[in-house]
Amino acid sequence: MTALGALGRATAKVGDGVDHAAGAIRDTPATLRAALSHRRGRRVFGVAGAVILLLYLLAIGDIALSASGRWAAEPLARVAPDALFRSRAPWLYEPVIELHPGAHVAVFASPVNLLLAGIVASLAGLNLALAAHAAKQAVACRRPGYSRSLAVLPAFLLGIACCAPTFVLALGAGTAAAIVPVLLPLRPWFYPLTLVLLLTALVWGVHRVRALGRADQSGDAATPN
Amino acid sequence: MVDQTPHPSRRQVLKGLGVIGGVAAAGGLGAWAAFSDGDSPAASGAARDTDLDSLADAIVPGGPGKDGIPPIDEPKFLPAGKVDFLHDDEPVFGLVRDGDVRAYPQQVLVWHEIVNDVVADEPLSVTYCPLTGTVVGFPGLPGRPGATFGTSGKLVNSNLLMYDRPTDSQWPQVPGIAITGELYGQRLETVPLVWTSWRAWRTAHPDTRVLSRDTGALRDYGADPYGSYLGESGYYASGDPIFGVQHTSDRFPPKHVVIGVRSGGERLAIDKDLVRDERVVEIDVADTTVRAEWDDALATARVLRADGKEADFMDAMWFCWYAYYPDTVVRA
Repeated sequence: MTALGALGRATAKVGDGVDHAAGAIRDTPATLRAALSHRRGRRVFGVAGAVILLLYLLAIGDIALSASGRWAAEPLARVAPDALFRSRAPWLYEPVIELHPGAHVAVFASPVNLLLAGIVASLAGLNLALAAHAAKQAVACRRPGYSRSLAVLPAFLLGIACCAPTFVLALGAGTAAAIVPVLLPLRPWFYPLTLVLLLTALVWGVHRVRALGRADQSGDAATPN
Repeated sequence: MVDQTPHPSRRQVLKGLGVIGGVAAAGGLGAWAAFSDGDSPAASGAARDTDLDSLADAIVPGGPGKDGIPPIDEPKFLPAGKVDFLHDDEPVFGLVRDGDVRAYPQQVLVWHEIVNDVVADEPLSVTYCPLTGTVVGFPGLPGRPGATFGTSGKLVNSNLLMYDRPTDSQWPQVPGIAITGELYGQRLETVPLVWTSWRAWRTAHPDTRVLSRDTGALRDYGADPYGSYLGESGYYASGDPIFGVQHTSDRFPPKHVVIGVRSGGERLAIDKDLVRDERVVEIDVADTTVRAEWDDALATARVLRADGKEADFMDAMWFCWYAYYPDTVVRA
């Protein structure tokens, strides 16, 4: 096989991958509906989404905790409505309401940050709900337990790991000094990168579910690729 | 052996090439956008200065955007008796100017870095860089009354890079010289402030007014993102600077505090501990003498010129002073 021929085949494989991805994208809404039609899927989506949302807001400082209860003397609320769309850093906006629901918790609420966090949390939650759906399908395929875990573990890990770039938003002086100067120029890209990774993981998850469905129909228990 | 693998369809190959080309183009564009620097030192007909141009080349992003660390443009002040948010030992930056006595709490300035104030009816921008431990007052921009400063979100030698709002020229805080823009090469006048504790300042100046936490921005005042000066912890206590610097020296630990003094063309670094131990340190500089005195009441050092007026001095972390002034004379 000539080098040119190998290159042509490799390029064609990329083209095939595009077709697979297009099919998975087409099937994504229906597959997500199926994943969320079960109580378990909805629970995974809700819990995972809430945890990611909380972690995101803690990471960017919009929720702060104090073990010593240093907000005991603070007023319940302060507002700064003019700051609604004022940016602090790429993908990070000024709070417009400061709340002190107790001595140990402070909330610096920015509607824009909340929206951005909600998008990431929803996509991560959908990824994990889809992974749970894949696990359920693997059971339907009568796969052994370890095989089920191997099938869904990558999807679970991917769903969480895809949020990692966003958490780098919180990097500041307190974090590893050696990597901060290198990462800071890339900071504007972290949030879009997170969305791309989460969406890619979602489509990949749908592709796996479709493959499991096909294997189930044909009685083939081979792990989907 | 004859290769019997079927030939890929031309349509699939073209599709693959399109995707690979698109990804490569997007990646290249992204890398260029991330690492290209829009801060050319040019934009001025002024004579070039290699030292200033090297400072401009050393500009790095600090994380926040322009005014992402929001300057306080309408500062509010409280009388000392109404201040209930400061611990006795918390650092404040004290200023006495034409009878106007003010304290700027470090816990407020760490979130804002610049206060565009009016003191004794004259504009004064009080600036603080937490990464270098430097606080400097600048009485406006030459020939542009009412000009204020903002935070660029960038750093030079790990030090605050300000911009002036009328011309957008950029000024690193410690040298106070424009290194980019229309005002390239111009130098700002400085007004020294003193580092002291809240208890010492209010005891010495019971009539002081104190910058309020009602700044117009919502911040977690009382928490310091870098560490703490109460018991010295985090970034302030030890370790190297986070961002790159132009020159380094291990003569002192990087965060050790020196009194940096500029007199004519001379640059001096006086160990603050030496001034505390010896009470008075006199140094001959070119054709004059500067005198660093320990102020017991405020537990801080002041530097006076031979004519008795205050010199151009500031507390600074050693790494920062040396990064800007590697030829500095050191007194330790």
